[in-house]
Amino acid sequence: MGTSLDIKIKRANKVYHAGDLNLPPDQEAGTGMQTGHQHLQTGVQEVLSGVVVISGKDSIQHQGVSLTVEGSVNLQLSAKSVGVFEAFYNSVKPIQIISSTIEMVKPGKFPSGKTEIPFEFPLHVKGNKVLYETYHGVFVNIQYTLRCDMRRSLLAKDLTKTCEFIVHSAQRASNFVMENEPKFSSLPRAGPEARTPLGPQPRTHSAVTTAEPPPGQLRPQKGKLTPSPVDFTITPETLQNVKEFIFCAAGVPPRVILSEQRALLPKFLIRGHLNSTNCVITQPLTGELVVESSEAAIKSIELQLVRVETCGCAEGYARDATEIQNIQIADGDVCRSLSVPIYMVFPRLFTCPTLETTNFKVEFEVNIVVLLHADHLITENFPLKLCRV
Amino acid sequence: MAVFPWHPRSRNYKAEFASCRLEAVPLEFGDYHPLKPITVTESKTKKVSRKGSTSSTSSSSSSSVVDPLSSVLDGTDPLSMFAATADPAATDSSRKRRDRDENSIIGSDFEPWANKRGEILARYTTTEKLSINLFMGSEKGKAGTATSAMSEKVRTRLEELDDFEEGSQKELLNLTQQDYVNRIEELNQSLKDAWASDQKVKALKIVIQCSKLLSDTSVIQFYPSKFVLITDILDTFGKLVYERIFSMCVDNRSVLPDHFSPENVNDTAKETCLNWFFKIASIRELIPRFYVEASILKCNKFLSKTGISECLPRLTCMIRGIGDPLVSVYARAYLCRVGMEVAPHLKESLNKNFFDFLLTFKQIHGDTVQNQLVVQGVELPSYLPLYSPAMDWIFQCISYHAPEALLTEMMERCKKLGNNALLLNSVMSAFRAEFIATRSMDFIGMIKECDESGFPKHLLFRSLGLNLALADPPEGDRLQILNEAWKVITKLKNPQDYINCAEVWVEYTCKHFTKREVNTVLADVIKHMTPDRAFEDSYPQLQSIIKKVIAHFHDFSILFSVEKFLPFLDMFQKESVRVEVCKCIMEVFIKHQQEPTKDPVILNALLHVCKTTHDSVNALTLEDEKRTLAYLINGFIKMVSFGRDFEQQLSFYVEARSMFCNLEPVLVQLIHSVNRLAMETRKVMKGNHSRKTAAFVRACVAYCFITIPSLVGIFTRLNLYLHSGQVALANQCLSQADAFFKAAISLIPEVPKMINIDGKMRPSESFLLEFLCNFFSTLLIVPDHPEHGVLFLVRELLNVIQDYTWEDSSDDKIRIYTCVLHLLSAMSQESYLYHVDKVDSNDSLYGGDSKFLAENNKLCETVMAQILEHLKTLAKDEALKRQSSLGLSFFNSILAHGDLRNNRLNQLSVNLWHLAQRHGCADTRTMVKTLEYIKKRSKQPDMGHLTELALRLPLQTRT
Repeated sequence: MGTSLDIKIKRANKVYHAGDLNLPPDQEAGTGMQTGHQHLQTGVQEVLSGVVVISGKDSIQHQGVSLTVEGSVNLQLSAKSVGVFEAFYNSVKPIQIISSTIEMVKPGKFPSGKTEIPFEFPLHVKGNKVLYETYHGVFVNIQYTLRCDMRRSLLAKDLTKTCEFIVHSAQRASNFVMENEPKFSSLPRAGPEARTPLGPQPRTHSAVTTAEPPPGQLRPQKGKLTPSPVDFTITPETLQNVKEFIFCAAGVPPRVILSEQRALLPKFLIRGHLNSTNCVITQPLTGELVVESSEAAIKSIELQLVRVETCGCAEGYARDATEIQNIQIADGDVCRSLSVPIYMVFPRLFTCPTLETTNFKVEFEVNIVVLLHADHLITENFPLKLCRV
Repeated sequence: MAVFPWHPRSRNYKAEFASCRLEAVPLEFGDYHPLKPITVTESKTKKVSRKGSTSSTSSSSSSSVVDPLSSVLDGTDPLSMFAATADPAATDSSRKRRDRDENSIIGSDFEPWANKRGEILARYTTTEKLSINLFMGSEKGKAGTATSAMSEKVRTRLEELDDFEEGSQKELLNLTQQDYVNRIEELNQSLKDAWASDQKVKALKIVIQCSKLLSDTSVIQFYPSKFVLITDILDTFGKLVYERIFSMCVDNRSVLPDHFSPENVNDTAKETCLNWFFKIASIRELIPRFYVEASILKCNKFLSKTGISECLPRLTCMIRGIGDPLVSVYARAYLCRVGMEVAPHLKESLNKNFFDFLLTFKQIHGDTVQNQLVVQGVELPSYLPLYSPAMDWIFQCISYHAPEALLTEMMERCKKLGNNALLLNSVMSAFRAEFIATRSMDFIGMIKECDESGFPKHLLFRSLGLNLALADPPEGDRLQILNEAWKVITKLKNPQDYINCAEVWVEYTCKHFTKREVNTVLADVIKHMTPDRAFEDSYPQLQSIIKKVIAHFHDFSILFSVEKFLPFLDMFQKESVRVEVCKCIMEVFIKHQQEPTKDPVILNALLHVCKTTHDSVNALTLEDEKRTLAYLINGFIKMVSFGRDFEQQLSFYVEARSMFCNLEPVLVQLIHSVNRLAMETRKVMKGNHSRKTAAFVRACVAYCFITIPSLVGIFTRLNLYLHSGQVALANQCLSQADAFFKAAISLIPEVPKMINIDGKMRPSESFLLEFLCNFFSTLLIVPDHPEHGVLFLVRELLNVIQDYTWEDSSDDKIRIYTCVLHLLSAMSQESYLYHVDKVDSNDSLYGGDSKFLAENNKLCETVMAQILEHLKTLAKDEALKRQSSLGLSFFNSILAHGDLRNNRLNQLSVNLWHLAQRHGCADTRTMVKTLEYIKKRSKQPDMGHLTELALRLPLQTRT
């Protein structure tokens, strides 16, 4: 047989920029990490271009070849938030952002060998819809695909090839919050929080609130990125949520005793700072951390990047926090009063600029997790705001 | 068959000699002469022209002959010419500049990591069982506790990175060190395989898992070796990634130059490179993330110009997160290593590494480390040296071409830290030896102040000693340094520690001091190593001490007057080691002794040394070994000379013979030496022996006569008999000479058909032929014994040849007979070709007596009859060729030695000529040449009869 269908997108990194691009040329920034930017031309609609490659040993009879661009937001309610039954029904419909099809070739025949058909798709959306950035999450998924279909007669199977491409917002994108003050006041856990949960308790932060509707109107924000450094100090006294965990026999749920155990905790003093909680997504999260003193030996210090996804639905909205990645910054009993760098690269696809819409929100947080040798676990939480400059 | 009488041609040797002699032509300066040294003067060295035309370099030489070697290599050699034409883009100047740049950064004087590798692997070993835990399979179990809240999708994604082969957790326990090394090697191989089969993710997994092993400090003694093994894998990986991305930049049009800039890199390559970095940035654990990123540091070149210079400081900071000081110092060493390789000009991050290390130095004495040591049962003095390889490397990188000020600053900072022995040691091993040497006294002071409990002091002294062996301390301090150092060394209790230290310091002592100090040092070593036979465990070190001593004391009379030298040798009680040491001494003696010696101290000592080596020979000793020993002993024997005291010399040889009877080459050498002694005597007496010298010479001859039979090699014996016989003859010991020759003759029947030469069996006949020809020429001048018949030696020899069983298929017997014919012809001359001074040969004994000549002719006839008989037997088909060539050679003999005016002999020669040509086997060219020769000879006076002969010799035409 050997008939094959393939899509080759022109750009090596498959990154395209959305939005109206009426920018002065000087604002066009190519950061060191994102090579895609250099293709961006001001005032010109981004055009998704490439070739469809059809190859076969013999000539190929077909009933037409079409190309489809699709982009949608898939929302899913977590079983924890709304119950298994409802999750199964998946009451939230996917939101279509873009969808269009063009007929590339009329029914006919391809000669044997390799045929390349170039194509171009201007990326623009109808009405007031916005091309959100590509994002692969757990409960929220924003994905753009390019699909090529070759219909064939009854005797041969139709051929389909799908290819994902990535959308990044352009410089002055309209879909994320970039103000200094977080608009999180309505959400249950906004401020930094420290606690010592121990043992096999899941480190998920799930909460369902029906009281308040999800933040309403999409508001294009014109905020600019201002660095917002944060200093922090962690001592037993600063902990908000001290729990003592007692190990139990298997199967029995652990008993968690809220107690006045703070005094029993090993003494420690950890200082540090984050250079900014407003982060440019292409730049790493940076900062420093110093273990000034600690009675117990330190086992590990980690940075946990967490996504907080909020989905609105008829019954209210579900908010789920899940881990994206966990980066160890210290291993073993680090030297006292020597600063350890905090450094984390935001993974591509799994992060996007903080996003807030009528139906869903995608936000990010980072936890600094200190594991002591006595199996104490200390967490310090920082909400982040990501943006693309 | 008719008997042909022999009529020898009478010769006037003097006239012949004069006529054959070339005319001497005086040589003008500048004339060509083959033996004149060739001087080639290169007029100019030309650059190869760009177009690749083979440029001719004009080299003119003063002599007409050009040295073939220099003429081949004139101009540029073909390889560099090729290189010059192959790369037209790179201009010469830019290349030169680049070369210079690189040289200024890292030169050949920077000791590369590869050198350290083997040393570390050999030094840090363990007998404990090791384990490789290649998969954090346990993490799955823990997943619920530590990292919950991950969605299934994310978890699988992370596990994909963690897992090596789907769902397999490999924990290999109880590996021996060798198994471990093998395992790692397998991993290295599977990395390459995975890469080759395009499984890049698998390759990355392997690398991550391997670097994870570096966070494991169980069996801590093995850690340095583990580091070496695993960083090998990382290096492989780094190279693979770099080469892959590099190859992506190469499109079919152009090749990326070595020094490219990021703009030349295409998007696909950049994207791939970026992908690697993103993937690595998401590695969960610190140590693997660090190592893997460091291993592909070089790839930053594809992304941006400043990539490496930004990355290095960040990675340096990242190491601060590593809690275990040992793990972190090795991580720093790796970073320095990669940094030196990729960007040697970025010195700051090297320094930063060093200063960061100093900041964390106190951790070594922290509780965490101490607890770990207790658990593993490792003492501090054996723990601290584990840091040395990494620290040495870091220090070496920093100190390479570093300004003095930096070194001084580093030293000061090291000084400030408590228990700085470890640092001190690395400073001494890494810094320039000159730097250390000039500050020796400071260092000694610092070493003394060190805390006794930590890093072992003897190692410090050892390091210092190593530096002093390389560079010289200031003149004034030298003695004090030795005293101070030795004061500490001599107090070391453990013989192993002591000897390791002493071994190094001996070099310093030998270099700067006299035999008195060396003697003291040796005495001290003996004192330390003798109790409990401690020397048995440290032969290598003791051996190296001896080597160092003899390397510096070339004058053996001084060396052996070092009182403790011989007692020191006595410590080598294991035979093999002792022989080794003795061999070393002999080698040095042969190499450095210029003048022959008769110093009784040297003789005694070296005889003892030689005797030791000789006595090690037994039935199992290999031939090669024997050869080496014999070579060494011979070298010594040749160096012994008592000057004019010949008797003592002879008695030395007698003694030597009794000592070295097991080594045949030595006996041969002794015989030659004694023969030489006899000839020396003759020379001194100018050929006229007095009674005393005659007796002495006879003693020499007797020595040879009784020594030769003890040899094994048959041709050795034959040749020595002949040679000694000649010496005896020259010294007018006629009966002794006869005895030698008789012995040789009686030995001939014993010559075996095949003899062993260099391990191969070869037929012996050609050797016998050679020997006999040589023998015949001596026999010419041996006078007949008055009580024996005429030519009794020749007769006896002929009988032996007759009875010897010759190979059927060879004509050697006949060739010998032909030679005998030559001999007999020469003997029948009035005056012989040569004589021995003061010995009357047969020519003067018989004075051309007709009876003698008749005897002689009778012998000739017999021999000729034998030859002709043999020629007849060769009439068979397969032997025709032999017959032809033998016939021709006989013809030639007659032509040369026979008197062809005799008709019968003339007829015989014509017959032989025909015989040679009869079956068309003869080589026409030879025949033509022979005929031409005859014609030419016929023109000489008294040779007119040859014209007639020539007419009777037809040439066969090949038509």
